[in-house]
Amino acid sequence: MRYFLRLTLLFVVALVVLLFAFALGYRSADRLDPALTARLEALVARRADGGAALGARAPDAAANGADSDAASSSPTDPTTTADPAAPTADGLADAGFDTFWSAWKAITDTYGSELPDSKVITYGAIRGSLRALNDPYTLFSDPVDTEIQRPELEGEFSGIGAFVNQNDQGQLVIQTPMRGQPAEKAGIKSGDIVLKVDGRDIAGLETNEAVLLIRGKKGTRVVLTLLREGTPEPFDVGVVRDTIKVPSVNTARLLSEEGAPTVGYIELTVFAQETRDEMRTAIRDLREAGMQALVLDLRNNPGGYLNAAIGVTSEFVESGVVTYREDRAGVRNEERVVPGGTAYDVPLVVLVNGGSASASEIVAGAIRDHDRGVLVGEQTFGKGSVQNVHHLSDGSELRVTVEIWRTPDGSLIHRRGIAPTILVTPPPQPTPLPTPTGATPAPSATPEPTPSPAATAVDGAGSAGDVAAPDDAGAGDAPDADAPPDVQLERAVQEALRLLGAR
Amino acid sequence: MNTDHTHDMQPDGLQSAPLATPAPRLRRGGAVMQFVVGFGLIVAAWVFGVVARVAQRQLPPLPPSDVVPPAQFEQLYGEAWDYVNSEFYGDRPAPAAITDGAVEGMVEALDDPWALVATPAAGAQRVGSTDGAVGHGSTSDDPLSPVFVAPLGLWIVETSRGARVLAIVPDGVAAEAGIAAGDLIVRAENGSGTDAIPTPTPAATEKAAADGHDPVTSGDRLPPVAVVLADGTMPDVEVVVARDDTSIFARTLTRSVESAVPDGPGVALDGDVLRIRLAHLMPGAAADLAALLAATGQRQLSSVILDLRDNPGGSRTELAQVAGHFMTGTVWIERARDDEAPIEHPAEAPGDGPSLTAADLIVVVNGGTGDEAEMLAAALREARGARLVGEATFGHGTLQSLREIGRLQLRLTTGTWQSPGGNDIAETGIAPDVVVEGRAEQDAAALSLTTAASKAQAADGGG
Repeated sequence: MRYFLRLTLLFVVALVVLLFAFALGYRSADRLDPALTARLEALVARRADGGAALGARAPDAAANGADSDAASSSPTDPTTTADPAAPTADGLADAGFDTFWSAWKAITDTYGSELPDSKVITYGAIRGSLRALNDPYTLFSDPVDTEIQRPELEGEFSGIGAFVNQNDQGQLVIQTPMRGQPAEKAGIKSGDIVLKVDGRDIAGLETNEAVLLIRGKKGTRVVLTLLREGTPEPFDVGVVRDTIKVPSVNTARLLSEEGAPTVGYIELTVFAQETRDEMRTAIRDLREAGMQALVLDLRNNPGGYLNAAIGVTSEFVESGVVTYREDRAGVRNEERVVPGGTAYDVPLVVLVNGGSASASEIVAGAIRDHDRGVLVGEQTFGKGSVQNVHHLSDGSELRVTVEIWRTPDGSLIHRRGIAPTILVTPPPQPTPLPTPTGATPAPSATPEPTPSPAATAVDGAGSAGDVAAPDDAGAGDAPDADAPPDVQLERAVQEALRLLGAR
Repeated sequence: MNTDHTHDMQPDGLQSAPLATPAPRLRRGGAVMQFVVGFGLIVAAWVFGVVARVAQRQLPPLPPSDVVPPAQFEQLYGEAWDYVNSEFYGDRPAPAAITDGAVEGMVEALDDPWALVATPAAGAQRVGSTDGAVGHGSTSDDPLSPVFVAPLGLWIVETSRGARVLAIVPDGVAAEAGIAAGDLIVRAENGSGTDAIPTPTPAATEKAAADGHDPVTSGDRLPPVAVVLADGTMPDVEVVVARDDTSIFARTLTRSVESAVPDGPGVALDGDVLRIRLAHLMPGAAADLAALLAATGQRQLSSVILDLRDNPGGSRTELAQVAGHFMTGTVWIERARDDEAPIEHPAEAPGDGPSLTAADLIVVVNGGTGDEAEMLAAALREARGARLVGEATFGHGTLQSLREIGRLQLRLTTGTWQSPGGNDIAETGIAPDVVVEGRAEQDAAALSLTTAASKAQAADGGG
């Protein structure tokens, strides 16, 4: 019996060790020499594409076939001419990727100019394949792009502290200088057009490229050549770069001017790491000033960190689920309220619009489903998917949509958005802002140089946690002196007063 | 899997005790042996782990033996695709769509301004198949030939990056919006364009979800720019235009009801001067020209003015035939790659009609004179002594070829063309002998050259 026990123990230990070794092997396989794993694959011969893979090795008819001039081409081989109406059969036949190899062979054989670095070709192929997924949030970024985005990932960078945008002439426009940051201190104004950066003409540069020029080491100086309406000649402005932290609470005040001194107003522009702390401070200050009800403005807030969304919700909701993450298999992970909120009892009105996305929608959905407040405004954007960042072996990065969000009562956010409790549509503006075609389906199109945590995916909490920003839907309502009255805010104040009266 | 290897040692049931007894002996017999066996098992388990992972991977198949894949292709594409396969939330597209996407992405990476991958998916909504908007002469089954968009008054050719403007009709909608030959229309959207963000309608998403489609994939890839431009259902089209890779601007074009039609060849006799207007060299242009020339009758002409302004070219077959009316010998030289011998393409002798090979020849060109039309101008200057009047031509000095690859059509730049004298036209185009701006001024200059120069006709042979 003693031997039996000892043997069992030995066996269990051995099993654990072997399992561990197996797991180690499984996990390290991706880092092994590709040549070795390729050979192993050949041995295993159990590729995803099965037999077709072997088929691809056969002499390729398509590559040797129709090679003709554009003007005189008359492809005759019916097997190579696909019927667009019935791509399925062809698709199956092509599971072996042979079309790709034929195309590559055609390029290497006949391309008239010098081929780019062949890694670029690989990157292009990956990008193209991802596009076939039809998901604007699943993206590839090569090592260079990844490096450019790194400061944003780290959540801190140094620059001048201004939101920028592109106008319909493709020029870089200062959308809003951030309060108290170098740009504002240097006198840069909303609407200024940036022509040159340190003497370099930035016409034709992508927004991101221009932004990279403006950014730089803390303490260094950058000279911007600006064009301002009403000033005939462009002029230079020197700005000393500083570390930029984006405050998420843009405004926190009592709505005394609006005739409701008991109603507080907090505008959140983004969901960043510090957002919950900033919210707490704002709530505390407003309370001390006499706030009894709160209007939380999430309009044009493109989102940010999941944790911040949970934090903000947790200020108002005492317990329960903030949101569910649901993967492809339908498995749900719940994200629960973090205890310690400071405004469970404050009547709440949340302002939303088509520019409220992602984390904003999580908050709005949770407030709605917990019946914790009233949503006023317009249908939200509808960005409710979670991206994971996957690092490839050469430093490239892949952001892949892996999960979607659901609100506490299970409704889907993605491509639907959250409907407001009270729909208030602002009257059409006399001069609509020229947003030529903001519809590039990439979240990176968000036109801000800020670290917008929105644009990143790394979430310390270890959850998949990225809530990426969509395009700046309807954004761009820069504060304007003679702006039309904010009917949505007016309605929100009415609601807040009604809630107060109902208590 | 690993348990198979421990099976020999594993006692089962009641037999355990007797089987266990040799253990101490084994220990006495060889601790080394035991160690080796144990270590071996661990290594075997590790290898199994690797194999299991490798077997599970979703990698693209290896290239055929005669193809050298791009650098690290197997590795990186494999890593990316494997991750997407195992983690991506949305529906997987058909393998063919992924392959097509990979080809498109690869071709875009070439940075070839004229490249295009025509996939069956996009082919269903290709410009060539929309009747009416397609210009005179362009073949509807070839997605790659230039297209004339009559309501906007411009010639475009579809590329992977958008629609390249080859030529514009003077005074047309595009011309008035400031669009010029050489511009690249990178985006085009029909309608008023007030709602730039394609906001999904809840109802549509609801329906998609009910149908079992996942909510992530939007399923609404934008149609090719050229398709939007050629689609005449909406009065307005919003375009974003890139010029020279340095500036980008947006315009709203309102489609004209009285469409500018790209005229076929036009021939007019003005005393001793024959004026020929060629708006394009699309299939049919040479035959039309031959018929018109035949109609003028056989008579001795002192001068010919050939107007190639805003002629984007078209087909090289037409080029050879049209050139045959004016000249003999080599029209253009095709140079594929450095290691291949150049091919000389001669003019094709015309059937009948007046012989114009002897007449004094003036060719009027401008920035919209492109491709085959440029080839014609250069050849007439060098091989025929024609004088060029107007502005520098478009500068399309490269040759594209079309290939069928499986279900795809692939257009690539495969070489350059040279004039009969062996000159390349770089990006700058062909500089005219007499630089004149403005259409009326060009017409006048051309006419003055013919009459004034009749005496000095043979003096300079040009290029």
